Amino acid sequence: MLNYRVFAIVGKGGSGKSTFTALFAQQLMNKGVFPLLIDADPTLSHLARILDIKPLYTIEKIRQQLIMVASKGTNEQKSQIAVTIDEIVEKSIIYQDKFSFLVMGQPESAGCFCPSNILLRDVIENISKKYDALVIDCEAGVEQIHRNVIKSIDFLIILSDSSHRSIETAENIRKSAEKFIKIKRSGLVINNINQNHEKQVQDFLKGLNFNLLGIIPRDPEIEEFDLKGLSLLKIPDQSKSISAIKNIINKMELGI
Amino acid sequence: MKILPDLRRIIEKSKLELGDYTIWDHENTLASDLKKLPIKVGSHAWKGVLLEEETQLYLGTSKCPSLLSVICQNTPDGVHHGRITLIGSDIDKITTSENLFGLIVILGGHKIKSEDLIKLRSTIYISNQIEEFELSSDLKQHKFKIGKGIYRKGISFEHIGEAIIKLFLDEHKTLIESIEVIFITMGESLIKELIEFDKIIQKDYVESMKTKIIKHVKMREDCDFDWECKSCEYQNICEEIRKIMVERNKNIHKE
Repeated sequence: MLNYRVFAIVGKGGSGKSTFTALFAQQLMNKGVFPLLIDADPTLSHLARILDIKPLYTIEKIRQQLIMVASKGTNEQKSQIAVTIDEIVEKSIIYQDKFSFLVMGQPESAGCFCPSNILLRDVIENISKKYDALVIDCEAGVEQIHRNVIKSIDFLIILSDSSHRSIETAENIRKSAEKFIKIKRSGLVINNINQNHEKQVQDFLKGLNFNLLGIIPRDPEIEEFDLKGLSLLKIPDQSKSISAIKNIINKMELGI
Repeated sequence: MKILPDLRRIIEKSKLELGDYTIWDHENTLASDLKKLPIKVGSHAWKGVLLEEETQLYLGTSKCPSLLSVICQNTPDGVHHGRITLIGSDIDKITTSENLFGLIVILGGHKIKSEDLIKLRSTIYISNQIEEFELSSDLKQHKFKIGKGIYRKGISFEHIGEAIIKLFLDEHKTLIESIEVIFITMGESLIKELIEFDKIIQKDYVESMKTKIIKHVKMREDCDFDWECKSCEYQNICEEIRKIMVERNKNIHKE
């Protein structure tokens, strides 16, 4: 059993959240962990592409179905969806050999319909109990996943590139996240860094109250896989980024 | 507890004991009198702050007890519409050694509901709507300041009372049917008794503030938008989804 079970990956646009999510999940799988991966970035849904998966159904579609039944359905249809909603969500999950995958999707209607979010969040939490781990690829912050996906996070992983501005943004994301959601631990990952700049980044980080989990160097192999549109889960184990992620997992003390 | 009769009993008893009180009745002349007020009233009538050198009279300093209370009831009955009562000395007769201060605004209207208490009560915190006048509160102290300019014009609590009535009526036309104002500048034991009385009657206000805060926190957790659900056109759909949620939870627990 893992010391931490729910992982949320956040960071500003372009910091490599989806790539990290895929590679981090791959390392968990290699250690025998069966995770549920959730693509919760509503605007930039990259994770499916990175994993080379084509999802047909999203949680947003189910939400629309729920809103439709609530607004125009008969009492019988409402009772039926109450009983089957967990099953409907389970059917939208894509099952693979070593992991499962769920896409939240982009909101398609006016109105916030908060109760629909709360209901689906409960369903997702219920379903996710069956998995060893939950790895959530978020948008920049965690506010949206708190509404739609889960009430608390065990480990918040904040990604940043090496620029001061991006690291400062990461700090703001952490502070903001702590206001919205229960978090057991958090840590920073500096991604896609030119190795010549590593010392400068380390010096800058000394002035900030961050738990640095690790630094991932720029990796030409990832660029090549991205260019060819191949699944990042096929990246060779000896690549630079994979060995950096292995070090990060060790530092996270997951108990595996 | 009958709020208004109990308040009247305390006030009447003090009037007899102290002997110094004035009543101005404006029920029939409210509208025409307001036009003749010697001070400007309304939004941006004043810059909002009275500096020490501009202040002629400062009541409610930390040495004395002070009271600021807005009492609301859902009927206009029993409220003397347009009446301004002063217990103690008027502005021109207050000596600098007298610093205690009390102001009670009584509001009545059939449409007043508990959820209106916050907005009705907040109207009393007048900052820039009466010329050279400041009314502010910190945790326990309520401060009342009159500027030198309007003091020289011979301003009275009658005028301040009329101005307060005008502001309340302008702001809450549809809710307020009757309004009465009581000023107190004398009688420390009276103020102390009214402070205790106010704590009891403001229970509803405190509760509605609590509800509002809880609602706001919940909204921050669950909602994208910084407005309240009551303005949303999809409330009935959400209500149906809530019912589905309850049914689903029952079903889950059965399993």
